[in-house]
Amino acid sequence: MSMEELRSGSDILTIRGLTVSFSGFRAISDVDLDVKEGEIHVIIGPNGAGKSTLMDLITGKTKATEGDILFRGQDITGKAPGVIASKYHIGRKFQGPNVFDNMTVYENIEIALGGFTSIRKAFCYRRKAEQKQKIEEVLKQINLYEQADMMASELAHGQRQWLEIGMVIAQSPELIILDEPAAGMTDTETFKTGEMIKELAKEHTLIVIEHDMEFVEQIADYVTVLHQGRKLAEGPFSEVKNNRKVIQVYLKDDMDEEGD
Amino acid sequence: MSKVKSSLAKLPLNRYFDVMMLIFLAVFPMFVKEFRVEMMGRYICYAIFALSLDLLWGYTGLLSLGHAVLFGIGGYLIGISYQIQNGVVPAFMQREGITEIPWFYLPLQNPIVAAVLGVLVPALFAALIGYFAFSSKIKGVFFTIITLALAQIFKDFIINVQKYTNGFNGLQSIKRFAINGSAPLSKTTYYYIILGIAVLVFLFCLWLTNNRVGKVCTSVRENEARLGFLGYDAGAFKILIYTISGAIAGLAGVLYAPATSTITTEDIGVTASTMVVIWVAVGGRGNLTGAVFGALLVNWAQSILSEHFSSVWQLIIGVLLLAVIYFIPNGIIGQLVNLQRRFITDKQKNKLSEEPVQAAAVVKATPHN
Ligand SMILES: Nc1ncnc2c1ncn2[C@@H]1O[C@H](COP(=O)(O)OP(=O)(O)OP(=O)(O)O)[C@@H](O)[C@H]1O
Ligand SMILES: [Mg+2]
Repeated sequence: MSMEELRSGSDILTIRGLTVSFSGFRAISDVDLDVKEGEIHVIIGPNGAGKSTLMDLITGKTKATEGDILFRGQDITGKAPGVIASKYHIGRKFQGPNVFDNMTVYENIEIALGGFTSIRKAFCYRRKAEQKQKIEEVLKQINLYEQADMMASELAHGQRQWLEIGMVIAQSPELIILDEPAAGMTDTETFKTGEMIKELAKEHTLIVIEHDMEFVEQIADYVTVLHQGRKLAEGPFSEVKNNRKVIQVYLKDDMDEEGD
Repeated sequence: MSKVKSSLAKLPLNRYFDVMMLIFLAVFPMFVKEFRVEMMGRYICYAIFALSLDLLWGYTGLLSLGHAVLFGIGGYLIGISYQIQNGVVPAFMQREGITEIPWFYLPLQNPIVAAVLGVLVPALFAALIGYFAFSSKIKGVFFTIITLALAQIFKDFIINVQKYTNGFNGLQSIKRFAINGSAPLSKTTYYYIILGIAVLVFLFCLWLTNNRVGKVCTSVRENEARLGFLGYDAGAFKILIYTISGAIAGLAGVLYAPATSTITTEDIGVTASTMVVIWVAVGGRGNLTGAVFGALLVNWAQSILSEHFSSVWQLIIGVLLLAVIYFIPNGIIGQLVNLQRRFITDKQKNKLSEEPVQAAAVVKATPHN
C-alpha cells in the first residue's frame, strides 16, 4: 500500500481543536489530528511538547478543556479510561514501563486479556486452551516466552517495556498507543522493538511517540510534529525531516542543551 | 509429563506448611487439657479474622485499621441472641426500664438467624463503606483513616447505647450454639466445628485469590492506575473484596463469641483492629498461610508469656514484634516464600543464559498469526 492510498483511507481517530490548560498553562493548544486506519502514526517533538498529554486526552486520563476526539466517528471526549479501553478498544503503553511488578510475566499478560474486565466475567474466567494459546502467542511476540514465570520486577528495563507492549496486545485493541516504547533500550533491542511494531501494524493501527530519529524512520508511515502544545508540521518522514521549521525547533533544542 | 513435575516443584513452600498446620490443629485436642483446646479454638477464630484482613490488605493493598468493627458486629449479634433466649429480657435491659425485647432484636432469638445475620450485616456494612470510599477518588491512605475513625466511633456507639448492648461490660454467657433448649456443644466438638469452617474459609480464599477476581485485586495493589487503562473498574473490585472480607470477619466474630462465651468492647475497637494487622504483618501478607500462622503464633506467644512472665510479658511481646517487622518486613512466611522464589528464579536465569541460542530459535520458529 502506498503512502497516498493510506492517507486517503478513513479516519480511526479524528481530533479537532483540542485544547487543555493546567491552571492557565496550555499544554495542548488547538490541535487537529487525523489518524488513518492501519497506519503507524508517529508523533515527535521536543521534551515538554505535549505528546504524552495528548495521549492522556485520548485515553481519558485527562479531560480536555475544549475540542473533540472522535473514534471512528463516535465522540469519546471526556469518557472514563476504563470505557475507552474496553468499549472503544484503545490500548496504551505508558512512557516508562508501567506494569504489575510483583506478579509474573504470565499473570501480567493474562490480566490484560480483553473481554474479561467486568466482575461477572472475571469470576467466570477459566484459562481454557484458547486463552492459553493467545497468552503464549503474545509472549512469543514480545520475546518473553521463556520468562513467563519470572516476576515482572525481575526483568531488565527493555524487557519490561516489551512486557507492557504485550499487555497492550493482549487487550486486543484496535488502536494501539505506544509512548516512547524504545526509551532506554540498547540498539539491538530498539531494532527488535521496531520490527515488533511493524508486525503489529499488520493488524492494528498505531500511534507511536518517539525521539530516536533512526527508529522513527524505521517504522513511520506518517509523522506529526508537536511543539509547545501546537502542531508544527505533518507528513511522511522524508518530508518532515527536511521541513525548515522542524529543523529549527530541533536545532534550537540541541543548542539549548549545549548552552546548559 | 515434565510439565506436571515442574509445576509441582513450583508449588509454593507455604502450601506444604498449610497441610502441616492443619494436621497439627487436627490432632491438637488429643494431647492437651480442655482449656487449651478452648484457647486454640479462639485463636483459630482469630486466624479466620486474619484471613479476612489478608484478602483486603495483603492481596488488594487496602489497609483497614478498623477491621474489628466487622468482627464485632458478628460477635455482638450472636451474643445478643443468647441474652434474649426464651423471651427473657436480660438484666441490663431491665435495669434501664426495658420490659419487652426490642422489636429489632426479635429475629435474633433464633441463634441460627443471628449467626447468618452475623455474616450478612458486616458484609452489607462493608459494602456501604466501600461504596462511599471507593467510588469517589479517595486514595488508599484515606481509606485507612476512615476505617480507623470507624473503629473508634463504633466502640463509642456500643458503649453509649448501653441499654441495648450492656456498654463496657459486654455480653456474657454466650452458649456454644445451644439450639432450642439443647445443651451447648462440648468444647472439643465446637473446636472441630471451628476448625472445619476455618478450612472451608481457607479453601475459599485460596480459590478466590487464584481466580481472575483475586488477580485483579492483586493488580489493584500493584498498580491501580494501570488497571483502568486495561478496561477495569478498580473501584467495583475494591468494593467487592471489602464486602467479602467483611463477611469473613463477621463469621470469625460469630464463631469467636461462643468460643469465649463473652464479647466486649475490647474485642471491637482500635486496639483489636491493630492486633489483627500485627498478626498478618508477623506471619506475612498476601499468601494466606502467613495470616493464619501469624494469628496462631502471636496469640500463643502472648498467652505463654503472660503465664510465665506476668509482669513484663507485654514488653517482651512488643520487642519481639518490632524485631520481626524490622528484620523480616515480609513476615515469617513471606520470607520463606521469597527465598523459594529467588531460588527458582536463579535456576531459571542460569538455564536461560546456558541456552540462549535455543531460546532464540524457539522464538524464531513460532509462526505469527
Ligand atoms: N497534569 C498536569 N498538570 C500540569 N502540567 C502538566 C500536566 N501534564 C502535563 N503537564 C505539562 O504539560 C507539558 C507537556 O508535557 P508532556 O508530558 O505532554 O510532554 P512530552 O511531549 O510528553 O515530553 P517528553 O518528551 O518529556 O515526554 C509539560 O510542561 C508538563 O509539565
Ligand atoms: Mg512524554
